[in-house]
Amino acid sequence: MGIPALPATGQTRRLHRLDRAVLAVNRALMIIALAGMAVLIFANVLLRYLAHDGLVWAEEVSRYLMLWMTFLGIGPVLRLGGHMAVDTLQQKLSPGGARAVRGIIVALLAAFMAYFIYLGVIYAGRTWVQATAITEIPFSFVAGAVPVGFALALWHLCAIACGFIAEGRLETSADLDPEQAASL
Amino acid sequence: MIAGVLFGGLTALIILGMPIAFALGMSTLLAVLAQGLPSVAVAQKLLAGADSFPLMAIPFFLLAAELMTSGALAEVLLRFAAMLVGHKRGGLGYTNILTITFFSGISGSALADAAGPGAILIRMMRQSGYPAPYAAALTATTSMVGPIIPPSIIMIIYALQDDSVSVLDLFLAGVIPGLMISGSLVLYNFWESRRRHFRAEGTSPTLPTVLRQGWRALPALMLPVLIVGGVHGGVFTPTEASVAAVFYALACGFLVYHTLTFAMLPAILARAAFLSAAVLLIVAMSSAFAWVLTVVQVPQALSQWIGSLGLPPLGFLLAINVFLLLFGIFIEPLPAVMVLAPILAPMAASLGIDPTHFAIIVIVNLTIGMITPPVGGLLFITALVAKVSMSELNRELWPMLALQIVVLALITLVPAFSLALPHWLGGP
Repeated sequence: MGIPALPATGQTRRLHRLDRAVLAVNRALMIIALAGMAVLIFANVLLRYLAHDGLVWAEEVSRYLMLWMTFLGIGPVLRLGGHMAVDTLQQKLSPGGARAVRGIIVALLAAFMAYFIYLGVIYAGRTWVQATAITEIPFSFVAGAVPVGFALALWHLCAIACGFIAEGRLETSADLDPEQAASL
Repeated sequence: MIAGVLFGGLTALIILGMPIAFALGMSTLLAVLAQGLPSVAVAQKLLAGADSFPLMAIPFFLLAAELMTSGALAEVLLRFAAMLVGHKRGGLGYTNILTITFFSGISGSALADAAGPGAILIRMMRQSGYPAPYAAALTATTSMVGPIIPPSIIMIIYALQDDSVSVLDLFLAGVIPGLMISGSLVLYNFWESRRRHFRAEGTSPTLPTVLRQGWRALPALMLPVLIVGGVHGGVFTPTEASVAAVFYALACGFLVYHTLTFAMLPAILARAAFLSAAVLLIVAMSSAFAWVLTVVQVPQALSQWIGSLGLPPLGFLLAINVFLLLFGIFIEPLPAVMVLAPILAPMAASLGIDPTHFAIIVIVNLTIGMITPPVGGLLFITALVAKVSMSELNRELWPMLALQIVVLALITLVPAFSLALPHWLGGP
């Protein structure tokens, strides 16, 4: 991944290692969620035709896995520039002007994410008494994807904020081609 | 007033360079606060917007396409197409169109087409002496068929936004329009090859070669038939078909072509998960946006206004086409369908226009926006691969773009192009 070498003070190096670990766990959880969804739905189809019986909970659980994958993905996708945006204005502006615009974008994003952590916590709290239709777990376990996802997104935003504001730089990885994400 | 906050905020944020998903979320939040609605409802709508079984087809189709591409399937299809048409004058041009049309039956999006087989074909055409801008323009235009020939991610999202159409009907309805796009480019390549004396490659194949290569390409060519046939025959829902496509692709890669290994799977899953998260976040944010639109009754007001104009259906369709072409220049099909389908579909329905026909018009139209300068998403990637500037690309692009507008006009004027297949196969 295109990470610039950091000054080798103990503090920043520890932070950098922590950041790598957060990203790795975040990515692994997304992989598990997608693989889990695919296996559950496929197993359900097979069971229906081979054993004339389905897993009643498979559909519900895989829908919730998809929700978690989506909200867990906000941050990692942001790091790689995978949320499509129109950057024509930044290209037309002077370097200083473009930096100012990117500063505003980061500030707005941070405020938005922080507000949604707050809204998500309230929402998850309110749905503690509300059970899901089939598995009958508290809906909070599903709604929790919102505050957790936005909290991780805020972490990932902080990780790229300096490089992005200064030079419009994002990370690159084989996990995502921003051009591909931009034109589905 | 609230509609002004919504659309004004959205436009300002997008121009600023805010990612579209967040621009949608922020303008929604702003409108909710201005209207005095409870803001926790936005968090709830965000979750509800992505909580849908039909939507699950999107990550699965993306995963299937990743598995097929990593499993060298693009190359198998390419070799098959090259053998069929490569020996004609302008053969690589036809190979390009045919390969990408085949590949569209695996992928549900235009960029998968342009970035997968498209990139290989541009390099091949350049090496054989085709003008690089021609190769780039042809690939970008052909890739339009990705979301029009089934499977299609945009169609799944459209069906979610408009209850009066089904995914199956849209998939069937897209087949002929998709082939019309490919056909128009075949004609154009025929004409240009004569005019500019493009070369032919190789000799015409013998029957055993055709059969051998055809046999090898068969697993890939069968996938769209399995998906559409399986759904139509009631064997499975579109979501189950998409997961069947995932395991079919796994079987092809492991058992038929021996190109996949277990070590490759985490990276493939990660790519599909990242792309899905990007798409689904837009879906979630736009559904919150669309919820506020409905609360303040924008679609109803617009429907009434259109009704009061007394336009004939054809006049309405022409006006919508002009509007969408302009809109599509700046906005990608995905957010455009999310925001516009709930507004436009009821208007069309009130004029007695068939909802499936209308959906195809909207989808083809917005897809044309992906090859319309200056911000067509497909143009960036093909220009990059072909190493040509946008202005060189644009000179080659205009005639092809004009042809697609003609195709769009035909699709608009003749509903049968879209509706014949769903009617013939007796959709519900």
